Amino acid sequence: MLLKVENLHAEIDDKEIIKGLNLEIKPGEIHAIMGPNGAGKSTLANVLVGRDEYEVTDGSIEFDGEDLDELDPEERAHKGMFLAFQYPVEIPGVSNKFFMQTAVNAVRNERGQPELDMFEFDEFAKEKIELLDMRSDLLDRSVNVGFSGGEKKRNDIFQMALLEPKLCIMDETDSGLDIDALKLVANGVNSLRSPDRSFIVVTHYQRLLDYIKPDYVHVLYDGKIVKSGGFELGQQLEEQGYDEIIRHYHNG
Amino acid sequence: MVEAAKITDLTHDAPFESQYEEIDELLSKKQFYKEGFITNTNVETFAKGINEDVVRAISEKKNEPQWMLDFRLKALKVWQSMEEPHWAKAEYEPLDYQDYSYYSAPECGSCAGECNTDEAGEPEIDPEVAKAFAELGVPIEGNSEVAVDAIFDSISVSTTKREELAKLGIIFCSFSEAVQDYPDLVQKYIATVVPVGDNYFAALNSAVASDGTFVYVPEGVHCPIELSTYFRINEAKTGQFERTILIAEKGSYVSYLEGCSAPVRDTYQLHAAVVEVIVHEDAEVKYSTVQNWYPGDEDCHGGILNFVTKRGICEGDNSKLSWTQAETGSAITWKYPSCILKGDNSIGEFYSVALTNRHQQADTGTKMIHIGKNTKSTIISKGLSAGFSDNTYRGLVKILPSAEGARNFTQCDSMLIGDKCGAHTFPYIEVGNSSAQMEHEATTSRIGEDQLFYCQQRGISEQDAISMIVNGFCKDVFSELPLEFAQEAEELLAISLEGSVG
Amino acid sequence: MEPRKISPVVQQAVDHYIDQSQTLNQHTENQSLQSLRAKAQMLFADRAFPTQKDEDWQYTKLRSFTQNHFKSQPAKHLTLEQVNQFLPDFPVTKVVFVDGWFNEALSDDLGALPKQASFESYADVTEQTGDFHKLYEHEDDVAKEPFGLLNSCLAADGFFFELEANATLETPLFILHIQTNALQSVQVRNRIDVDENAEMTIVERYVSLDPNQSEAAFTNVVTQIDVAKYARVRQIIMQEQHENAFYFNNQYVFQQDHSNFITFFGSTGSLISRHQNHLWMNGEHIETEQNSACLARNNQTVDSRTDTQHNDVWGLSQQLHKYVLADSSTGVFNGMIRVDQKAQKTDGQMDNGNLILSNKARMDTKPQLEIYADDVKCSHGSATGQIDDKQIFYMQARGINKSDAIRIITHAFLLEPTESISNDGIRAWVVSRLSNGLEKINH
Repeated sequence: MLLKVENLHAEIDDKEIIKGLNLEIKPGEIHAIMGPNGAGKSTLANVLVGRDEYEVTDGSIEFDGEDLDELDPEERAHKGMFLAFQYPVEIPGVSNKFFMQTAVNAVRNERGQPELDMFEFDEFAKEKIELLDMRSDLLDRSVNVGFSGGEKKRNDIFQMALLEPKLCIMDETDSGLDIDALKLVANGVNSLRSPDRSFIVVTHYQRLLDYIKPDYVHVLYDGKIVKSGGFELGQQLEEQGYDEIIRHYHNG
Repeated sequence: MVEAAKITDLTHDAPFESQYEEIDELLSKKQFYKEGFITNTNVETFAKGINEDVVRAISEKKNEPQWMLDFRLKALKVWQSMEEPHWAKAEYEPLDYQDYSYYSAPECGSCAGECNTDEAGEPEIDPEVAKAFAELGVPIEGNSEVAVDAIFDSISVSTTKREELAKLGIIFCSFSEAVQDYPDLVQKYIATVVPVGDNYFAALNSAVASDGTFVYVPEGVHCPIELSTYFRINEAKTGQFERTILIAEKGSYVSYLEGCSAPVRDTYQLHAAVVEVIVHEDAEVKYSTVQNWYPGDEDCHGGILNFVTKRGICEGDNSKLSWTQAETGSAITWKYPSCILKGDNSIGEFYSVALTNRHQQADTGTKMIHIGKNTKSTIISKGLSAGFSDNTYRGLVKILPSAEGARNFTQCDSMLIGDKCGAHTFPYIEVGNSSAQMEHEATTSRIGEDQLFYCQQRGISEQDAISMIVNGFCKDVFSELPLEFAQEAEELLAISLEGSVG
Repeated sequence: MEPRKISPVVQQAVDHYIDQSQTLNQHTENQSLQSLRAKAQMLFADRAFPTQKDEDWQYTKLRSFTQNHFKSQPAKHLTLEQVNQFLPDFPVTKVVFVDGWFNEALSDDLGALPKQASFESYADVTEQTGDFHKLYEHEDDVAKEPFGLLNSCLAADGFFFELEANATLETPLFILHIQTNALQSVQVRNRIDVDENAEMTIVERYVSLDPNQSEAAFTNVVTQIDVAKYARVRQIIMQEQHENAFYFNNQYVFQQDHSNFITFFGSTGSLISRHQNHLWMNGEHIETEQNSACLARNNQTVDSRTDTQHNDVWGLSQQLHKYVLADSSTGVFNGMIRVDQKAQKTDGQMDNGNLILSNKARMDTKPQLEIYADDVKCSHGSATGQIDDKQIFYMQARGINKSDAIRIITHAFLLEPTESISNDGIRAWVVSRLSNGLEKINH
């Protein structure tokens, strides 16, 4: 088991958002988490990677056989958790290259691998740029500064490729992407699929799932997973909306 | 023609308060000012106060000729008729100018002009003073690739590599010596770029000028080493009023650096310098400053008030003057290194990083006055504000009607670290010739928890993230500094953000 | 207030258009629409046309416009070949207007659009008393613009298009306006609704059948675009009318949470071309791009304006406007970014670059910021200048002749905003249209 979430409760500003959530993910699996606005989708993503503002009040998150409890975000990153942000952040003046070289070496250090020098990193990054079919000037630009929304998200996927994580959490990566950009992002993700890399795809809409086929679809509502199923559950949600499931939840 | 940029003003109370708590906490950790030690040596310090007698006494102490005394007395009159300016975006109580001492010197060094330096070579340096400079890493023994003029309180205690430079005809000495040895040159240039009555602090400086550096590079000479001055204020309640003149004759080149520091004191210390640079035809001067005056305690009490007038004139055609500064110290900085671009095709540049933290206030920028044809100027200013500080860019680009084909590029970026600081941008653009090309860019951004979390999620710790972001922001300017200074500037920046940067 | 002085020429023009509007009303059965027009007539009679004393019309002089009296006339008959020469080389769904009149026969079969898409002509919409408001929803805002108000008086055709939630229209909608009649008055009123999480691309092209026509013509468009939450809209507009034509376009765009709108305006034609985006970012995390590439020669005036209102948190707006001005032409850019007090974390970027190829050409530019929130990032840059002689010399020194060097530099300069067009086929087409315009310039 790569990720094991048991009876997770989490709150922000004293307000409980996640209310007893269970989730198990095996290596190589793709899980989609769908749900209406305010269901706790983004909170779940942020809690998993250890964002400070969110407090876990009960339950546990076990990653790769280890309890994540008090670990800082960077320590979780070192262990192989990656979050593709819903809104990737701009860092003016810091080149993507310097940023990612620092990040990659921090992670490598932790794994006991030797650091990459400038030339080695260049080679490594070039490979990934080609793999993802991205523009070669990407590395020289400041992190996300002046990028369009689509470019920012593609840059996050590029970072994902560089850090070679075990678990990739994609938080509403599809929002704001037009159909061309969506296909590029999906191709990127598909090229990173492997038997020992798992994905959590958090989304409000079905359309990204047409291109990244999940093994399981979960519906998150009111801080809990209220329904799980296969790929077809996503399609059903697109056609019928969340109302039916919500009604069932409240009546059940 | 370009519309003057609107003022970007981010005020102190951002609504996303919780976001910045942690940054504020990091920044509020006690700062370490490693240059803050005090040197105990025998000094001669004048009684506090300023009047005609004091000015005469300074002049006599320095054994100055009559014309210099006359210059001082005239300046004193001008100063007494002026009022202390308070237009800058920096708040301070009016100063009591009678509560400062206007002359202080280590005893052994106080003989400047009396000792026969020519015979004895370098004058003996007070061992305590030598120790202080050694601790500061200033190579006053002449064993470095850089020529150094070391100034301790009011006087120059050592100037290295003079003979080597003299062989090339380059004069590199203290201002006091220049008054003695090269009176014609000093008289020819003093107050030609910064007139006595230019501003309040320039007038004060003209009256009580303590010491400073004098540089003269003759025609066609490319100065092979960096020239530098290190200023140290040691005595409490003294003012330092250095006067620096730098002349580059036709076709010459020189790169000049200055650095400075002061011990930790609990009352404000005053620093009011005047720098004049004259660049003749085809000559180039690069003037770099790393300013690290004592910024004061947590509330900036006791820090240096840094009121400086720096100005250069590109007198001849094809001349070039480049100012680069890294400003991290002082309680209040008030400084606008400027270029008067008189010669055709002359070039003026201004590269600046100004960092303020805690309650520091900086109001700095430049003036580029385009007079000659096809004159060009570049302004790159990076303002970083942290803590409770205020950082203001104030700049003027003026194109006179005669400046056919003039060009300016201005880039003015501010970064706020935390939510209790302020950044302000006041660009003034005056265009009197329609063939001018003007470009102005301005940005303001804030480092918040969002950015730090983003870095952490990629495996980079919070401390490394701040240091990475700040250095990235400043790199356009640091790349303009001479190599060893660039490193010093980066380190300074790290120390000034102590607590948040490792 | 003292009544403003109106010159006899302008008064005649005002009377003429009010007369046109009254005639139009006589042929309209919908009484609500009639009274809406009547109200607009009153306002227009009162305000008349702006003069150079109006700040927003300081640089765009209307004298040559008011001397003409443009009339609504029936469209000329065109063959399919005549129409198809204006089609782009990528697949589109074609909607054809000739002299301002929707032509169903020359358009593609709009019934064949995906079932989530619906197209109604102005006539369809205004026949039903209840529905016509869809085309006249923001009359107060429209009336603030002199040509918006005139459009309210005179609009006689246009369309309403809606794309339902979650639908993606993969083939762009291509709105083609062909002007044929001399002194034609074209008054078009449109609305496009893109519902939640839907996506579409709109390409608009304004051309003249005879590019060498010596008589004037007048095109005046008002379009409302509603971009619902999570929806994505791409818009490309090419204005290539003949050089005695007048083009006015006011777009009113309303965006909701998480929506994404990118518009590009390319202009090479018309004696006066004035294109205005009025944009309301009424939700969180909205992303907007507004770009333009404007080219003018002889005595053309090209005027591009944006008014961007950030009304909620985390909005991102980006703009790049490039002008190339030859001969005695005039360029005008006016950009306003307003950031509401509520709109924290706004990121607004506005850039304007202008290349002046002649001493007689002039550029007036006014980038403005109005910021009421305190945690925002806004920047604007503007640069105006001639081609650097040193660049030309450098290229000459590498064996490129002077006129080629100037052409290469000019092309690269003007085409920069096209980089925001993500679809390769559309971008290539826009580049070819702008290049075509550039070829006509005398260096």
